[in-house]
Amino acid sequence: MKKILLTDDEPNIVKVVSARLKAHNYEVIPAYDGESALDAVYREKPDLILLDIMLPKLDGYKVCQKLKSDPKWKEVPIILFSAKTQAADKQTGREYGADAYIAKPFQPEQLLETIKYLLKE
Amino acid sequence: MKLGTKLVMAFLAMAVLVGCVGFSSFLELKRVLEPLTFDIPQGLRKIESTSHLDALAQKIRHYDQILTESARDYVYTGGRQYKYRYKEFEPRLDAAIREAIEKGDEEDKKIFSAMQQAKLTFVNLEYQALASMDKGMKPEAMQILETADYWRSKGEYRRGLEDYIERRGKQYGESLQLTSSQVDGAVMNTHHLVENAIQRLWVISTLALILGICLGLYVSRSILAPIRALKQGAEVIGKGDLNHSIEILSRDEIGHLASAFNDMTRKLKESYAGLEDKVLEKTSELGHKVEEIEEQNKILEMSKAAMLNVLEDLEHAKSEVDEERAKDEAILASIGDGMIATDPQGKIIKANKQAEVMLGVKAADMLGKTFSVVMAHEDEDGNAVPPEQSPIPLSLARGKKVLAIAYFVRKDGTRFPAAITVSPIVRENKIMGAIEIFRDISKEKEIDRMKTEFISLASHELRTPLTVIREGVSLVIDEILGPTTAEQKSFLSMALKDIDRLGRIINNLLDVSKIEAGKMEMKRVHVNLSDIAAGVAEAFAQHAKSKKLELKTRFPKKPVEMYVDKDKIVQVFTNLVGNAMKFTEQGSVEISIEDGEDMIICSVRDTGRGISEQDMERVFRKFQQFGGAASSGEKGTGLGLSIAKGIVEMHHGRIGVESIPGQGTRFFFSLPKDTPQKLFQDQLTRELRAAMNERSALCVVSFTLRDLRFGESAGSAREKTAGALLEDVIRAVTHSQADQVLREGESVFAVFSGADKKEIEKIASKIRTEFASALENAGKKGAKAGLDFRIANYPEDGATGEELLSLLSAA
Repeated sequence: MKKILLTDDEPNIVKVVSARLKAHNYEVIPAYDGESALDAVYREKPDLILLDIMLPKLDGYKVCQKLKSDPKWKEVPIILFSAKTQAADKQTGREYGADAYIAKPFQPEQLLETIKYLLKE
Repeated sequence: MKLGTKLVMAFLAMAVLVGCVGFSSFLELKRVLEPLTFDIPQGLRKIESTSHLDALAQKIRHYDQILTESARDYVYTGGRQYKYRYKEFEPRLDAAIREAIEKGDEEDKKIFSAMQQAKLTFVNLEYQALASMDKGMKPEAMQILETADYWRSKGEYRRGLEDYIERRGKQYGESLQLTSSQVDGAVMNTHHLVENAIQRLWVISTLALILGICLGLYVSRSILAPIRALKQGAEVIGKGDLNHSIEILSRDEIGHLASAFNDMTRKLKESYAGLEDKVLEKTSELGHKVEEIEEQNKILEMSKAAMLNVLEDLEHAKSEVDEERAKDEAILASIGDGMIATDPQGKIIKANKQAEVMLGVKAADMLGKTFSVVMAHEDEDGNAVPPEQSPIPLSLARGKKVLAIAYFVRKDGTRFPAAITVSPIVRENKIMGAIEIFRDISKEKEIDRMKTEFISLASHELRTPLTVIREGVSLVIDEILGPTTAEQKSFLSMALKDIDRLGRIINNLLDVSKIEAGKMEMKRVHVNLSDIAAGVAEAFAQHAKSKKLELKTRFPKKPVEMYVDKDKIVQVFTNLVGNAMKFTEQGSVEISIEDGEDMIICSVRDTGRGISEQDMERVFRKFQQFGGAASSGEKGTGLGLSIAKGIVEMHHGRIGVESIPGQGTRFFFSLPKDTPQKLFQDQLTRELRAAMNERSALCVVSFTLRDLRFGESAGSAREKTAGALLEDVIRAVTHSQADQVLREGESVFAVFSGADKKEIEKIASKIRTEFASALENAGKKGAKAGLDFRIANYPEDGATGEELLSLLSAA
């Protein structure tokens, strides 16, 4: 079973998205801020990371940049998952090395397809 | 004598003197020539002839030896070669002796004649010996050579030769002595001659020099003396002594000048005499005039009285001016904005009531001080603004209007943001002072902050719960949480549709508020408008097919190159085409672009139901929806056209609509065909103004491709590709930090607001490296290009867009 790290400061979002992912046979590790997200990555070694941008302590861009500049973790796909929908935000995400960008509110099919694609399933 | 003649004669005399010196040296040299050409060579000749006789004597001795040896060798060995040798040398000996007799003196002749006799005897004997030998009678031949006669004659011969040599030796010494004494004499003689010559030449030269100097002195005196006399005379006359006359006896030009001068003096004297008479005459006339003037004074007295009347009137007028001024004061006092006026040094000369109130300082306490002393200026973050960078000194220094925003700190520590306008007072190209008007913008700042906050809050805070709601509903519909009935599903699907609509409304609402708040960011890039429209058409192709509508496009053949915000123009097309599709049941939707003279006109035409006249004027307002909901598909938000209008207007374009109910509608928008350069410059100007307001820096960078080379051929299309690639690299490297990027031929310009030069230099170098690798990765084998960049920044390099850009283009 593939492990997905799900980071969002909104517990309800973590709850509903977890339900969806678990229903599709993914193991979900929740995290609620940037720093615990990084800890969770080092501890759990997830196969994919879903990352909100506006996070307490360390924002999603910084988490993304940190992981993508670390040779040990740069291969782990990151999906930025945010309520920011400006084209500029997406561009910034790409520049920090994110593999995909999904805007909230999201279409479940789009999320699942993107995950499948990035996990090469 | 004339001056010219004097000078010519002086020169002639000098020439004669020089000639004399030359001639006498010639004569002296000639005297030296004689001993050199005659005496010395004669001595030498004597030595030569003596030595010639010596050489002959040598020969005579030598030949004799050869003869004696040859005869003996023949007789003893019989070798014929000896006989031939003998016969060869015998005549030579003969000739040598004869020559000696000829050339020698008496004594020599006697000796050589005796030797000739002796020689005849022994040669005769030797011939006999040779003849005997020829006949084969060797003993006889040997005997002949042993005879007493033979040896005696040989002895005589040799004695003669020795005598000669002995005598010759003595004679030789004598002659050498003679000759050398002769040469010595000649040299001594020559030496004397040369010494004498030098002495004589010395005397002649000295005499010539003295004569020359005397002559020169005489000539110059004869010229200068009259000139000096003339000068002195002129000075005396100049001082007013007209009785002076210049006495010059010389009859040259100066003499003429002096007499002309004397003439002039005389005439002057005559005219002066006349003048004195006239002065006397005039003085008596003046006496009469004085009386007349007294008369006139009386009249003037009367005028003065009239003048006083006028002055009284003026006094009156002045009070009116005072009234005006009082009015002005009242206006100044009632202005809501603070106002201060300064002199050219920035010292305050006036402050209005409002300024006193806003700053909490009495006007009297401000006068004579600079504004930055009266009021501390800070930026938004509380950093003090250096006095020389505060608006008034800036405006005085540049002679230009300065707009700024600064925080004023009162004495009690409270501070408020002020919008400041400083205008220099310029009269006849001179700056006479400046006027600063400032306004408390605390409220505007607060509203602005709230607007920005609302937008970011809305974007996050509205979408987050929406996400939870949507996903919650989806989980139920998808039966992930348990089975659902068909009826439940249909209601939940309905909810889902409206949740999505709410999401779109939020997005559109945010766009509208951004446009209204002026927070919508524009990122203009080079695009082909036809490509954009074609892309939108393609996105709707499937939708059109499902509605059985024909989706047509009509674009100019040439690319429509524009400099616009790509994403936003896509949004305009999407909104218009989406609308058209929604309200058209059958027929077609056509997207077209027309390339007009100074604008591009884009249209979206449909064959739908049309818009009634009373609705037409409301179409671009917010939350307007017409004709009930669209018959099928998604519901609109009522904001699409309002956003389209906002975006078009941000591009300085116009949007409009025309419609015939029942037949169709045409939405169209125009985009001005401003050159990209102009748009870029406009944008730069706006950003500069913002930078000035915020007291932040701004950099403009130009990147220029140099020596662009592709693997194969190079062409404009390929260059464009490289330029576009460069543009992409710039965007990627700067994380879209560059606010504006303009591509112009082989150059790309980028604006970075809030960035200083050093920071930008680093970024530009990085762009250069990245571009090189991007070019390689682009799959163009062998592609190469240099990349130059130049940076101009505000405030160091200039304060207007033109200034900064001209710095960049000055290659």
